[in-house]
Amino acid sequence: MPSFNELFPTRNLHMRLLFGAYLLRKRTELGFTKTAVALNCLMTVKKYSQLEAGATAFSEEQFNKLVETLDLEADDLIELSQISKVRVINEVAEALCENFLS
Amino acid sequence: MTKRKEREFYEQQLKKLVAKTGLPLRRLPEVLDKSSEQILGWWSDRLHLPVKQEHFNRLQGILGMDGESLLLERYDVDLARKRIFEDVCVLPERYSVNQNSFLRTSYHIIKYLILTRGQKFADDILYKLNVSPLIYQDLNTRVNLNFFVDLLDAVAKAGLSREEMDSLSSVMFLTMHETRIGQIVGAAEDVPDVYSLLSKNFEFFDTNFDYSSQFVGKKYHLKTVLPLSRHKDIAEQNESIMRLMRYRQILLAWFPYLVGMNPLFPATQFNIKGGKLVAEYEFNLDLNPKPLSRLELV
Repeated sequence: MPSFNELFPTRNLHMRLLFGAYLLRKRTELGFTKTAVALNCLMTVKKYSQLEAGATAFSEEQFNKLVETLDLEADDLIELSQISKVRVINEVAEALCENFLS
Repeated sequence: MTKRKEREFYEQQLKKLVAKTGLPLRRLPEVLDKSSEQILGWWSDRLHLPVKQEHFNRLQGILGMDGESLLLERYDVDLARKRIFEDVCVLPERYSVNQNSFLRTSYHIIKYLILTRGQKFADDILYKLNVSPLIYQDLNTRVNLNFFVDLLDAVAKAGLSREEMDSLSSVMFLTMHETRIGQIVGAAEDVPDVYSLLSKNFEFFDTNFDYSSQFVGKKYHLKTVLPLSRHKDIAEQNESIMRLMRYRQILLAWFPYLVGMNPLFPATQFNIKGGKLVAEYEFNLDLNPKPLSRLELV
C-alpha cells in the first residue's frame, strides 16, 4: 500500500469526493451500516457520513482504520488518486479555455 | 392495486414472458428460488408463487435486459429469444448497424463506474441499454456510436456529476499507452508533433467522424464531421449531442498527456448543417503546455 501522503498529497475536494464514493461502495458491498463502520474506526457517525459525502478531510490514522475495516484495496486507491488529479486539471482548463462547451 | 391483484399481475407477467420468449422452465428455479416441482405446479396453475420485481431483476442476467422493461413488456422478443437460445451477448439492432467502434473505447467508463459505484451499478447501467455486462469480456466487440451516446446518457441520468462526466473522457488516457494510437502518439517529441501524428492516424482513434486538419502558424485547426444520415437517432437528441461534443473536446485535449505534458484545451465550435454535425477545434500551440509534474503515476 502506498503511503498516506503519496495517495493524498493534497486531499482536495476531488479526492475527497472520489474517496467518499469509494467508501460508500465498499461499505454497501460488505453490508455494513454507517454506525458499525464509524464505531470500528473510532469516529462519530456524523464524521463518517461526512467522509462518504466528501465533505470533510481525514487524518492518516482515520484512513488506516478505514482501510482495515472496509478492506480498501491499494490498486483502487492508486486509481482514485490518479483520477482526482485528472479532475483538477479539467477544472483548471474549464476556467482558462475559450469556448469550453457547457 | 390490492396486494392480491399486484401478486397476480407479477405472476401473469412472468408467465407471459415465458410464453413469449420460450424461456425454458428449467431456468426458473434459479430465478424464483423454488424447486422444479413447484415451478411446474405454478406453470400449470396449481399453485401461486410470490413473484416480485426482484425476480424480474434476476432475469436480467439471463436476458441482458432491464428488469423493469421485462416486467412491463417493453422488450424486444426476438432479441430475448436470441439471448436465451444463442448468446447472451447478442447486441440489440440499435447497436449493431454501422459498427464503427470497439467496445474498448468505452471500457474506461465501465471501469470508473465499478471503481466508484460497484459492479452492480455498472451492470444495471448496461441492462438499461438492453446489453449484457458480459459483452465486456471481449473488448474487440464492435458497436456503433449509438451505444456510446446511450452509455453517456445513462451514466448522466444515473447521477454522475458534470465533473465526473468530464473526467470520464480523461481517465481513458491513464491506460491509452497500451493501445495502438497511444503508442503512435506517445512517440511524439513535443505537443505540435502529438497533433501531427494524431492527424496522420485518425483511423486508429475513431472512424465514426470524418477528420481534416491543418497547421496554420502556431495554431492547429481540426475539423470533424459526423454524417447524421448514418446516425439518425443521435440527430434528434440535442442534450446527447452536447454531452458527446463536450466529451470529445476534452478527449482531444488530452493527447499531450501521452508524452508527459499537460492537456491543451482547444477553443471549440460546433453546429449542425446540411445533415452533418460539424465541429471545429482550434489548438493554440503557442500556449506551450507544461510538463506534467502533478500527474506522474504513483
